[in-house]
Amino acid sequence: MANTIDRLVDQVRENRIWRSIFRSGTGDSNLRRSLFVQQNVFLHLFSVKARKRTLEFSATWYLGALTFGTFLVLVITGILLMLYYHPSVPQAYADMKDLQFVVSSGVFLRNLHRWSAHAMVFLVFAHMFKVFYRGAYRPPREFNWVVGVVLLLMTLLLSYTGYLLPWDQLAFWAVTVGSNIASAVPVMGGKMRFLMLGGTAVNANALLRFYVLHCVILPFAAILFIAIHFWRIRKDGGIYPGESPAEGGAK
Amino acid sequence: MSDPKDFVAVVDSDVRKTPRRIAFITKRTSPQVHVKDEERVMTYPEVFFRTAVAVQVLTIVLVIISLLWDAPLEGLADPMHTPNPAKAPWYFLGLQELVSYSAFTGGMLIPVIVLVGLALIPFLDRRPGGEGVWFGTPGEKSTFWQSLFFALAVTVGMLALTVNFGWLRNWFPHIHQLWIIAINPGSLLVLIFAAWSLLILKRKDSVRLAAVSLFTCFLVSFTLLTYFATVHRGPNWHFYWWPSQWPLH
Repeated sequence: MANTIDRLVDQVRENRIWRSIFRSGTGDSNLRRSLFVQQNVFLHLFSVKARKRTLEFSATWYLGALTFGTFLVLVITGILLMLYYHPSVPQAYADMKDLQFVVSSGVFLRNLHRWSAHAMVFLVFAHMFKVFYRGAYRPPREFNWVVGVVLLLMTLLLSYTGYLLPWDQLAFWAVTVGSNIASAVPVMGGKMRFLMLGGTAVNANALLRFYVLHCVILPFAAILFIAIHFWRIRKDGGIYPGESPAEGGAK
Repeated sequence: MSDPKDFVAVVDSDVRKTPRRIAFITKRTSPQVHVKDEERVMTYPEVFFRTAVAVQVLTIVLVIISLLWDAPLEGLADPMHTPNPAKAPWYFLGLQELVSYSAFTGGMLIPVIVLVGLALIPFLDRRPGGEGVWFGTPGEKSTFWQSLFFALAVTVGMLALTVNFGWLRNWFPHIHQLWIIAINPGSLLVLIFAAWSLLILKRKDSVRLAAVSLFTCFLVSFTLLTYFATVHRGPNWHFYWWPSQWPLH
């Protein structure tokens, strides 16, 4: 049985159409494994080899990977939620009620999106604290640390813009409180707040702006910076494996 | 007759072998130079599969949480009815506490200082050594614990002072607002933490230790302020030990 499946998989992978897309082909040589990564537009962000010790759980706690995992969950659930959502007043709130009572698994979808968002904010902070205390931002990794700070800011903005979308009391007043902070900026604070909300108060324009920011501008910007973040790991020589057994060092 | 095959051609796919390079390092030695040749694995499948498993475990946990607890949904947004207190999302509550002292300091000055400060860390702390190791350079762990308790004491003290005795506005009702913008619990926290970090820098002569102390102060005050605003701030942003003590209205 297993043999048959293996043969079938091999046949598919030797197929001309398959080979025209994935050129690395079959076989278990390291050359093929390298090509698999090198010849894929997404995977070639990563290096072909990694130091074995960087894979130990203690080296990273997989915090970066998990943060990216929450991002993936958020993109998938977010796109599904967009199918049921109108960024208009008061329809947005009615859509929340529909998710609750009409749409199959609607509540689950919204729960997953919301809890994943909180998890992402938490994991981004945890990732940053771990990288700092391990001193993993040293040259030549300075720029990637800065990209990380940008991604932290983007995560917060994504979460904040998403907070308004349900258009309930919690959303409305949390965003009102947040947008009032913008007014504290000297000279241009009022203008900034107006630009952010599309008006002088949180209203239908603000909902539309936050929706566009949340579903288009910020996610695409985040994807771009995530790509740079990953690519720079390779360019900067991989993840720090931590204490090397040969060198010893202080613990 | 000797064997005509006097050489052996081998295609070596030993992953542990990496190309050897000869490098001449002049002047400054970058930490990369110290990296020893060590055991390596192929990214595909080793790294990708492990990452996939990690993400799957995470997804399972998130799914379980989502099945057990519902996301909050209150009534339709009503601009005419302000809930008291109106609170920002949890990760901004520390900021909201600072904003309650001064909108400019808490909402603008401190976030900018924190973000710029964070981005500057690797450009200030450039001395190689201890990369990728928990508290990798000598004295980091003790600096961490000292800063932790220092920041705990200062932040709790500042909150207790503010809650019990108010601030400049309560003591001098006619004081100019500029005084409060300049001197408030938030700006004082920043100044005290900066002074503490400079003290470490001067005494230990290590930018890394100064960074550790400042970063730890940030971690502690961020966590404490977030907790404080989440649990202990009630209607009109007054202090309450528990939300159950909030007055009914």
